[in-house]
Parts: sequence; structure tokens; C-alpha cells
Amino acid sequence: MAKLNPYLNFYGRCVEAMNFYKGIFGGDLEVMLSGDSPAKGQMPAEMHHQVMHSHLKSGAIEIMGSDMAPVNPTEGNTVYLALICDSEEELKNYFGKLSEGGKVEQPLTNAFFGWFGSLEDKFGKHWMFQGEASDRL
Amino acid sequence: MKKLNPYFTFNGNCREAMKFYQKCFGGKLYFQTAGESPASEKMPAEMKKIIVHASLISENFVLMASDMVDDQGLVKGNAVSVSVSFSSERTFRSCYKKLSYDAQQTYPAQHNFYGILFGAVTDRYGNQWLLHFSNDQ
Repeated sequence: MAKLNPYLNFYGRCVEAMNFYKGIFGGDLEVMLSGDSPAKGQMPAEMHHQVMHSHLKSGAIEIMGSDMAPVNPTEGNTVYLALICDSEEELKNYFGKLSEGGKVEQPLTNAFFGWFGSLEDKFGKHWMFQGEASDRL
Repeated sequence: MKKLNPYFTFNGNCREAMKFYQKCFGGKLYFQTAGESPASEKMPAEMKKIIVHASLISENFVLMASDMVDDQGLVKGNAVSVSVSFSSERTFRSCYKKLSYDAQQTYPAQHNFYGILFGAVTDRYGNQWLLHFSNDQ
């Protein structure tokens, strides 16, 4: 019926961030700059190089991003991107790459409910890592 | 196969919030409380009600959540949203209306310059949603 994807605001670093994620997950990245969009005329020239909308798709993983910032952009910690993998190797690989330049919150560990870990990446976005079994409960 | 799902953290009202989202989006709702965990014996009764993990699941749709807050506490941000793409205009309009209950409509539902039906809401729990529907999906 409906499909959910995270939508991330980067207020100026969208191209850099989305390429960082593409380097990790692979897939196709589409980027539309404000200056190439139908809204170009409504924006000052200095905003034309900013990303209006971008979309990374790699299999079931889809991430959308933009530089179109909210007023007073604030990085919170109440919305995480939960990455669920069915192998320990995949979890370790993504955890290692996404933590580069960022901050590990909970090191990847095999807890009683399965693999778990969390981090804040270098763009201030929060990621959570889980083994396949913990998807449902 | 790897998956990426949005994961919300609440300050004790996870159950209420997830029931609200179930009313908006439909799907099956699963809860795991602290009282059901192996560590529950030493907990005071109040703590046993805390939601360790919740998931709202329907086809293509997994929303996960928790009441578990780490030491730094909850920081409400505005730089991560959840994008929802709908396969019908009817479900788009129905969900937009339901999510708007006691919410801030940050972008009223209307066709944007790409011809896509788009609406944005910061819901009653402070989470940001970007809803869209287009015929060519």
C-alpha cells in the first residue's frame, strides 16, 4: 500500500553525503540540483548549486536526500536508520564503513536478541544495525 | 537480504504513538516490552511496561520504534524525515488526513511542480513525514 524511505536533509553537503552512501551501498544515484529544477526561477542564484532532490537506490535500500533545509536545521537522535542484514559479515562491513569519520555509539555486539550496534555518521545521521532475526521482534 | 527501515524513539509513549500510526497506515503491530526480556526479574513494575521494540508491518512497509533512550537523552531534530510513497490517491489522502490529526501541516497536500501529489506533516509526536503519490509509479 505504502512504501517508507528515510529522507535526509544535509543543508549544503547533500552531494558529498549521498556519494558517501553510494560508495558504501552501491546502486544508482540520481541528483537534481535546484538550478535544473522547475523552481529555479523562485530561488536566488546562490542556491542553484544546492540539491533539490536526490535518490539512491541499491536493491531494497533507498535513501533520499536534499539540501533544502528546514529553518534552523537541527540533528536530533529520535529517528534512526535501521539497517537489517542477514549476515554478520555484511553488518560488520557496513558498520565499519558508515562509522568512518563518525562516532560509534554502541559497538556492534552479539546480544541475547541478536546482533546490535549503533552509530552517528560523519553527517550527523544516526544508524542502527540489527541481525535479520530482530526485524519482527 | 538487507533492508533499511526508519526507527523512532519515544519518551515512554511508544505504544500510544505506534497505535496511532497503525490507525493511519494499517498493518500489523508487534510489541516487545522490557518485562518480556530475560533481564526483567530485577526491574520495578513501571519499567516492565517500557517498549523495548515495536514494529508496524505491512507489505513494503516496516516502521520500527522503541522507548529505550540512551544516556544522552532524546534530542528532537528536523533534518531526518520519513518519505511515504503511495500507490493510490485515495490512500494518500486518507493517510494525510489521519496523520494530520493534532499535527502541523508543513506543506498542504497539493500537486507540486512535477505534477506529483505531495504533502508534508510534522505529526503530533514531532515526527516529520513527506507523503507523495504520482500516477507513473
